[in-house]
Amino acid sequence: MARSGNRVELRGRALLAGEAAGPALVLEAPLSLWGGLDPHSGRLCDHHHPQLGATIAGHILVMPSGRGSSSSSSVLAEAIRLGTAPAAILLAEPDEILLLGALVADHLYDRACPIVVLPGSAHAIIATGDQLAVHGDRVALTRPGDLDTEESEQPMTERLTAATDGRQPALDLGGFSALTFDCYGTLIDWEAGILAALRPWAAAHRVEVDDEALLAAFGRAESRREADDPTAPYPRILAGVLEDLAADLGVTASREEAAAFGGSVKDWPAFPDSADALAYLGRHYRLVIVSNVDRASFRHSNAKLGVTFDAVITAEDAGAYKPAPNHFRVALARLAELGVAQDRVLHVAQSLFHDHVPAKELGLRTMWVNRRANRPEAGGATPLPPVPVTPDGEVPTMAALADLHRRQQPR
Amino acid sequence: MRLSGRDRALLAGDDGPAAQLAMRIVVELARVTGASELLDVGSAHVDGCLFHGQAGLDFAERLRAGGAVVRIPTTLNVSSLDLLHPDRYRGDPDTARDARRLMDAYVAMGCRPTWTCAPYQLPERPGFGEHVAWAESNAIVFANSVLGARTARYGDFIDICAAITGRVPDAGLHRTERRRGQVIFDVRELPDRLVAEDVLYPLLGLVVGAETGHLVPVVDGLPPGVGEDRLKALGAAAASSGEVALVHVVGSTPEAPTLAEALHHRRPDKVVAVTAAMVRAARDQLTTAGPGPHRLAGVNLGAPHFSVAELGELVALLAGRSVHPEVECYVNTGRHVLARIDALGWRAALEAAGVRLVVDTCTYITSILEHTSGVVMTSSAKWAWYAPGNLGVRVVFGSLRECVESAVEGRVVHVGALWEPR
Repeated sequence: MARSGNRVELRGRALLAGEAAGPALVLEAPLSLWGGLDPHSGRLCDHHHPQLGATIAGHILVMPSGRGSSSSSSVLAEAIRLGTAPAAILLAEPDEILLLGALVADHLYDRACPIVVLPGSAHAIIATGDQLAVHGDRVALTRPGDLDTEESEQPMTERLTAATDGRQPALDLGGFSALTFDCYGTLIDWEAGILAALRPWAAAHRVEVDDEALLAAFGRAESRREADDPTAPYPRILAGVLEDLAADLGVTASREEAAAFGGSVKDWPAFPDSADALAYLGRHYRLVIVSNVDRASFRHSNAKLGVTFDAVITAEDAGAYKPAPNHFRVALARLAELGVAQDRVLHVAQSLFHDHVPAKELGLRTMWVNRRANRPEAGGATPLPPVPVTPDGEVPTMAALADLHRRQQPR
Repeated sequence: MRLSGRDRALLAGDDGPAAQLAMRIVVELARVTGASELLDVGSAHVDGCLFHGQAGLDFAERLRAGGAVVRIPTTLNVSSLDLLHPDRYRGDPDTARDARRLMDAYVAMGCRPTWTCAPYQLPERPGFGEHVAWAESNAIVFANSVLGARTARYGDFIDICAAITGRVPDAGLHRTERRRGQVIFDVRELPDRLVAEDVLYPLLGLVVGAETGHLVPVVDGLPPGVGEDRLKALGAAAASSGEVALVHVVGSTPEAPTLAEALHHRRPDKVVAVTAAMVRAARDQLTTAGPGPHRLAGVNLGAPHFSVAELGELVALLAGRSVHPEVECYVNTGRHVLARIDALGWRAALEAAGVRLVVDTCTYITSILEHTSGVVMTSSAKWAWYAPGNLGVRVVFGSLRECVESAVEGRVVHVGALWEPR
């Protein structure tokens, strides 16, 4: 990937080479064009899809994960014939169904709809509205404003902390009826759990690497795996992460070791203040979990947290991993059924990358539980956010959040 | 990529422009799938005859005009029209005209006018290990799983190109290593009384499809010798909720005499213990109508197309009773099955009881239903999965017995005992 200013050039594999330019439309959930695209209007018509009604005509359709009915070939060819098709399609994996539709339309009507497969890491960069230009196997991305955060002299985390360093009045917790929580990193001490699982493996393979480097490598591999395979169950994501770590470190991970790491969530400890703080907050708010985990693993964590949540939204329920917005949409729909409107919801989380960025994009208010405030390194197991984000409030711990609520209670 | 002399001759246009175009498309697909050569296929099942718009028609007519003829026995999937009961069609007449032109183009290329999504119910069907090029997700999963034939997930356009050239890329499920079972679905926890019921199998298929991703599932723990209609329902549902194109059922499907053989003697990637609660959740997911009471507008059976045996069971469950006058009850099936039940006297009995037999198409893909308000009941997971989006109907899923009792009584009847925890 080559960067200069606010322009990035991505390189992939052209399934159907050609030239195209237009604004990106990034699909937030898998889409089958059959039943999902109305070729007459060029709009998404799948009633289960979060972007129902969006126009794809003239856009560069970015599909991080495909889901193809085999009749989608016909629908794409028909859309190309009618001029309602995307200008080009960017995929994360080769898709024969879409290729056939574009190929046949090219033969019949001499109209190209180039298709390029980009690696998952490239997909993580592209956002809806970015200007894209496709040229063979290359995709040039330009974004209005600042794309290259490395240009800034001040590190990202400092800028973020400065915005919430306590000089602002504290957020009024009385304005909320429901708290949605990230789990791992916020309530469960996942870094302790990850290190407890990885250290014996690293020792057995005689790998010398310090904890922060191991966590940072974990964070990179995990977010990549989650973006690449959004419907994989979390134990499989973790197993894949171990394989990636092994490859990075030049050692091996056996199938058994990968599977054991995949199943280690059940042993990850809770932060010592989580259960008490949740028990207290549960008397004042509806509590909802929005977590990058599978249901089975979460049951073990839930036992450590003590409380009964009003709703639990896992990656299995969302069909994707945060920072995809799916979790939040599902949670907000569930809360709406419980009579809680979005403006009465506060999202509480440690990860700026997984939680605050997507929650803010949806207009949610957020509380940063900055568990790593006293650590020297920036991210730990959590990647840095790709764009600047400003949470509405910040506390160092869950106990501090409960205290803040107590102090704000009328006497 | 290694091409045969014949492949190269087709590419050079020796058999005319249509065969040249078909071969180009097969080779393009081979390039994308990374195949190093092409394989001969013994038969094709073509899905492109279902009308989705002008482009599909233009493609078929371009091939036809270029002199295309299929080189291998080729059956046709359902279309948009019931040619035996044309008055049932309630859609736009221009669409009907184009849909008919599309059907005619495929027949003109030498395809057999079978118009069924269950080509495996026809007398001649592929043998074990035979390479075929089948489209239509439920036919694909049946051919791979139940017959042990080998087909990748083909769809529109490539299906007819394979039929014209007789060639496909050596990729996907054509290759032995890609047929290894990867995810075990252990059903031993399910109560025996549920395992004994037909209704379990489509629901189990939904669970398998939703949990498998793009891997190959293995169902382990069912009594041996699960019948073809149950395997059909399981596979069709798995191909609806997921991308399943092959499911091994230990003790019932030919590549799975034992669990170890289904796994190719390797460790599974994942094991899922299927619980009665998961099956119940799948059932509840299929019912899009909220809690009642509802007016029962219709009952739809046969997706995939009903077999002779399933129609026999329907006759037995009706037991001489008639469908309630305010309920439209449709059964989708193939022409060949209709001819068979005609000979058995069942067709007359069913029609006298008010059952409307639909052939050549299916009631969830075309405009046939008279009433789409109220709720529609079905015993087909596939029908229940797609009809709300395609037709805008609200669906109640139930067993065949529940569907029949509901059709007769004119209201939704549930036989609850099966589902109550003990």
